[in-house]
Amino acid sequence: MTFDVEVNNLSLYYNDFAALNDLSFKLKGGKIHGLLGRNGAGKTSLLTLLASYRQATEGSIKIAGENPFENAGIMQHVAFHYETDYNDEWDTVKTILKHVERYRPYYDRDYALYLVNRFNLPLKKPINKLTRGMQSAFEITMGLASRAPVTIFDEIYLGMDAPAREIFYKEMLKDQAEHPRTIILSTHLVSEMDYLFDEVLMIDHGKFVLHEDYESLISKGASITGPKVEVDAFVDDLTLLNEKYLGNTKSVTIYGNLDDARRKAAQQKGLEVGPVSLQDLFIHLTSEGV
Amino acid sequence: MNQQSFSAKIARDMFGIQMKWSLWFLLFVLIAHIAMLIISAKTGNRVGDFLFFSHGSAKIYMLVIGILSTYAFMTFFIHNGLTRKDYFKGSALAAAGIAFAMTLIAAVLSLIEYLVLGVTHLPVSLNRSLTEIGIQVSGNSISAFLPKAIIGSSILVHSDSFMGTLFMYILNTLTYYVVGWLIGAGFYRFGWLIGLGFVAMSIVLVTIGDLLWGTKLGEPLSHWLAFDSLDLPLYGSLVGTIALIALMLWLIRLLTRDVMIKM
Repeated sequence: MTFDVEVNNLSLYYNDFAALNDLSFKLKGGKIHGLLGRNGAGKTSLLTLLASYRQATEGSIKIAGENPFENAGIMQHVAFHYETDYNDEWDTVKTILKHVERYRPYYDRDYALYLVNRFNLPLKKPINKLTRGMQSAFEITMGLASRAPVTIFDEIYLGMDAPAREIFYKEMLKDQAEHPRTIILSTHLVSEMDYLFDEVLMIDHGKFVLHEDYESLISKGASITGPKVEVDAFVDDLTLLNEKYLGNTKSVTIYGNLDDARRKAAQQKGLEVGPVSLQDLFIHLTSEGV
Repeated sequence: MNQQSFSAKIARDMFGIQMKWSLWFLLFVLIAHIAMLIISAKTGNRVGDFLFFSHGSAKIYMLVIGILSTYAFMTFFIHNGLTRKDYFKGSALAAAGIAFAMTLIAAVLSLIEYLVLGVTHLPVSLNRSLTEIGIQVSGNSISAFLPKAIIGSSILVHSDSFMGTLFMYILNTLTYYVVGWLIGAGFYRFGWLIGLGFVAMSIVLVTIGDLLWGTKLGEPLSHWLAFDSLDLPLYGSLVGTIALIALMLWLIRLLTRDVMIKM
């Protein structure tokens, strides 16, 4: 089962400060959505609203067409996982998983145990004795095994080392292929996670920046590589995102669509045209003064 | 899954977890009580039966687990996709269940106590209707170290029917649980400063609760108020206490119905 998520004119104020300012977007069900934004952009604020952890100041949220707040029929299908403070949690992984099983209608016990093994989590150790990375892996285990139609991971990889994060990405893609749901991943690690996203939602200072599918977003720019002089001449009138040198070779990332004629011209000059990285676009679109 | 079954599930789960705590609590009280009985056998001082003995500390215990409710359970249940409303209903049911179960266990332990003492003819004199004087006489008993508000408010002081006593034990422990829950919910929603205001309010509510059962006011209050005790018939105390619990539950629901969940 997949749920669409629709947000209309959503605002959230902390006293006078607008944490979220008039956001509107629609996330299609069954896809993985990357939520990108710098520190303090309002990512977590937005996610707490989607998870009914709090109420918006203005605007509306519809999940599967209904207002989720205090709506038992929707809230049971929305799983929100984040860096949780487990200092006072003396229960074991096994005990907590049993509780989750009681409340999540699509929870898969065997799959949860499979993930526990993949992440090398001890079943019988109190959660507060686990390392930070293991606690994150435990959150991921709960989140994936619940198979909630709307699954939200907010910077969930904190404390996890690279191999463990790799396991997370692989297992998520594998399970998503078999049991599609609406997944929202908020992250800083853009370069590491970009291949996971079907769609990208970017916010900055609480405001909507863009919402596009990954492929069309990275076609909004290109990287041009070749001899320095040729490259400089070619990109003269384009917006540069990034420049790199290696000896006489220069690689430039540009922003803006490159039409077919230009692509051909580049190839004729012996320049290599490649895709732009989401990371470069992200930095460009959310840096100050843009 | 419909809403009814969610709150019933929460009630079952919270009852299970809190009952586990409660059994540990009762075990410790039982050990203390047995120690008191041994002392009493040697010194000849009178001691209250288990129902009486456990009543004061059971109220404080219920206050404490009531305070824990929002912090220990609400966040957890919302994290698992349940609504605040189901949490409220479920934990109210569980609290009533805990009060009922604790009373039942304390009553059974008291009956066993009478039975054992009756059969063994140990030189212990149990007292079910300890008066203020009774408490003063037992100078080396634990009750001498507890504030008067705790031990002196014992409902059993005024009771002469066993069933009536059980009813009062249930309602009294439940009142304290709900008072704790109210304090916890106040802190959860407003933070420590306004939370302290809820503590102050709770002292008033607890005092009203105790007054309903005929307890005399403590020294400072009796100077401020025109009366120092109420004399209500049993049904008056029952109805009054139920109304008090209902009022506090309503306040708790107001505090938690749209509260922001802590992360």
